Amino acid sequence: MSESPFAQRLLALFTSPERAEAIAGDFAEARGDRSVTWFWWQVLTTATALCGRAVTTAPLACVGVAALGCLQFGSLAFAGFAPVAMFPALLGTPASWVWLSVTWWSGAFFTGFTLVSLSPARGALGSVLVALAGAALLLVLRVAGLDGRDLHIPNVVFWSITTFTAVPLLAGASAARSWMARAITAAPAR
Amino acid sequence: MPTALNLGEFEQLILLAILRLGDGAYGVTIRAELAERGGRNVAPGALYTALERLEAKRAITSRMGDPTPQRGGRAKRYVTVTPVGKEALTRAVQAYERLLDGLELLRGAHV
Repeated sequence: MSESPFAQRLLALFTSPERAEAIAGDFAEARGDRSVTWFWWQVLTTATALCGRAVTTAPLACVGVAALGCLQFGSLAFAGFAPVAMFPALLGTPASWVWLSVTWWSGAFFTGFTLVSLSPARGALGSVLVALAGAALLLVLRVAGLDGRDLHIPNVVFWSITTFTAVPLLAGASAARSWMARAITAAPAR
Repeated sequence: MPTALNLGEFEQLILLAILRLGDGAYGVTIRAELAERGGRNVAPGALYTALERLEAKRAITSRMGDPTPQRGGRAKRYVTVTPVGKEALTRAVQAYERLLDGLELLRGAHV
């Protein structure tokens, strides 16, 4: 069951570490001869349901965390884009793509990490909402023709940014969860 | 004065399944009990969110068991119904009984 550790980490984004362990264990036990697809379907539908419960339990808090994430991620993305925009000759060069990619993906990772550090219960959900808001914004810009086609952004880059931003956001959130769990474990008993 | 705990129909079924299972109630067995006796193929997401909700309402408590190899070394999370949960369930059943009284619904007299 090599997929169980990753499944447990994914579930732990939306519930307590103990519950995530028990749920991943339940799926591993119930799986039997069933396929990997069955296992991951159970994990993903459960993670989605737990995510939905977090929204319905405290919708305003979730919106607040997501707004904070949008602000932070937007600031980091702007800080990454600004140096390139200041030197138009750099636009479209490999150096600019490397710089923009690093700042974008690391900004997403850091945002996910920060949101979970600030709000362990809703940080991961906030990361999902930031990713959805970012994707929606990019799609609106695409439809409106303001997506930087004059910057010669290749289609593959645009769609990978639009689609996969959730990955570093959730990776950052997961890293923060692990870091917090280790900190709790390592804390001396009083 | 504390307000009485109200349970949804699905929550009532889960509590009944837990009571039937006794000390062996955890995710897999609850789901199996609901399928076998309740005739419901419950989505895992619905079950685990309902269990979280019931625990938040203090209708159930949980404890971690020992890790087992067939679960990839992961522990089971056993759940038990609290007195608060039993009381809420009893009230719900009594309400059903009062409403059913005279209808003879189970004998098909309503058709």
